[in-house]
Amino acid sequence: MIEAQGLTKRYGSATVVHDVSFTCEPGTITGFLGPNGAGKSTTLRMIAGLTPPTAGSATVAGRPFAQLPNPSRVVGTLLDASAMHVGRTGTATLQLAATMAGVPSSRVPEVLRSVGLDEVAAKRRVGNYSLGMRQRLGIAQALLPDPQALILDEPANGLDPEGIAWMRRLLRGFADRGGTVLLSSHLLAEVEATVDRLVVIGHGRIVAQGSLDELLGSSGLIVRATDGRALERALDEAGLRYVLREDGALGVDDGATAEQVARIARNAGVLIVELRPDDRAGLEDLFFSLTGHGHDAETGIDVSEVA
Amino acid sequence: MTATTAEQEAPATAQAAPIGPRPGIPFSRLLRVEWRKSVDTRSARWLLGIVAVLTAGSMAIPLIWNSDIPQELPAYLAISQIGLVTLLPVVAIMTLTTEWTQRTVLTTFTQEPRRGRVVGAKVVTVSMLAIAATALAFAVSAAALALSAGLGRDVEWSIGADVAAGFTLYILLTVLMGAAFGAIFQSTALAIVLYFIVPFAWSLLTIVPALDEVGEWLDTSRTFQWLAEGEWDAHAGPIVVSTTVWVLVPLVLGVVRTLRREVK
Repeated sequence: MIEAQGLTKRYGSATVVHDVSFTCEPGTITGFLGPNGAGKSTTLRMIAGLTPPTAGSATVAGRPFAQLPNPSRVVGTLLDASAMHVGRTGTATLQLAATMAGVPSSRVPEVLRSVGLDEVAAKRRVGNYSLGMRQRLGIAQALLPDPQALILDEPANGLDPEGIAWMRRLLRGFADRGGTVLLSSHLLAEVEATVDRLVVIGHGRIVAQGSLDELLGSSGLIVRATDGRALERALDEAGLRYVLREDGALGVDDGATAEQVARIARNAGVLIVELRPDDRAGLEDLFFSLTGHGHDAETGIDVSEVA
Repeated sequence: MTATTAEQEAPATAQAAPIGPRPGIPFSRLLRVEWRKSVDTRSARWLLGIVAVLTAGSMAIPLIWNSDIPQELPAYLAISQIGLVTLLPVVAIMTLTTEWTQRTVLTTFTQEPRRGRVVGAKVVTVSMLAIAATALAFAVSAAALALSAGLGRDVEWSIGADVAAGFTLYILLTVLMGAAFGAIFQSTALAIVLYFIVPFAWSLLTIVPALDEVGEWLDTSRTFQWLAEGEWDAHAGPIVVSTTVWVLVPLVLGVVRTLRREVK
């Protein structure tokens, strides 16, 4: 439904997006994840035909975006919730979109209700909206013409936890009815409960992509002992790498099995009180390595090669 | 990732009709949208309101100073256009620039990626505004002249077709020049400042005798004046050249820039 093929964008000598390819299938929600400045928005704008790519191409429903006759009926976009005319009311904003798409204006109050903007809010000027309200209005605008796909840039920005949960249900319902969703975020925690697939981008390049299970199911282990120091020594002797977690446990992310770790502990006479797989180790490490706050960058890059 | 029952009824019939030859957006619809955008904002309404008030108010001038100003329709018209030609180009500029400054182009150009059609609809919109404003000027002038006649003055109703047409064209071109500046500079403040300063600076420059002859061909304060007074037969060359330089060229460049510019 949405396909990017070798998308590349250079500004002068700076390559902002390099050879980005991925596909979004109907019925799925794809999270486009990466730190700020990784090239997410530029990629989404190239897909939406707003930024001409230096190389590569993108199609939506089998055609380049700019060749869709009435694009908003095929793919709803929200590329920047703050890019709205501050002087118009929520209703007026959507009425323009309705006219443009050729859908009856009776859809406007309907879709406003569905995103949780009440009549009072609808009559207010967008300039008085909070960012969260603008996100809701932007999503309403994208949904208004009843499209088959959605492209949303940082839609969770400015939403409170309740709002994020709301959006999750909304997008899940949309995908369950066969819709295709591509949304970007710079926060893993924000999207990991929403998306089916992840495309992770850093410094303009895709560093990992796959289903959530593939990417989150890593070999990382969390192990806690009554005597943490003794456990560290034992792991050092066994040559296993680990990180000291904030909660005092150790994160072992070196391909070691639980049995291996348990044996090492037993042989050293260390009492283990917790030993379990760390679901998120791989992706988090990868993500931290991209943002530059990494505690174990190497492991992150290992994961990227899984893709 | 089990699906939770969607509490909110999200509108999506995702498996809608396959993408066949779906009709594009007709130009009439673009025009309707652009017209609404052009007149539905607070600043545009204020400007249009002020234009109307100024146009009506300016009629006090020929009514009060009736011994100095000929009580003729062309003279009334010439006064009625003062507020109009000053402020209507600003509305035209804003029609072309606001979407860039408010960044609503992100929405507009995803709704209609054929950007040239959007600019076209905006230009037609401001042209319609110009025609409507001309009609207002005629109506207000006629009403004022009728009032003058009602006061027992001798009034002259006749107006040459060339003056009427020239006046209309004058308003239209003035407004289109604003649109052209908006299209090329894509920033409200910059376009407004340049719209007022550049032709003025040019007029100043042509005070230099050596430049006077060139000035005659490029100075819209002179050429448009000829147009407004219906003297376009005698000055067709300079009128066409100055229109090309100040209206046509920037408009074409503005369209090209709009087509090429990256929308962020």
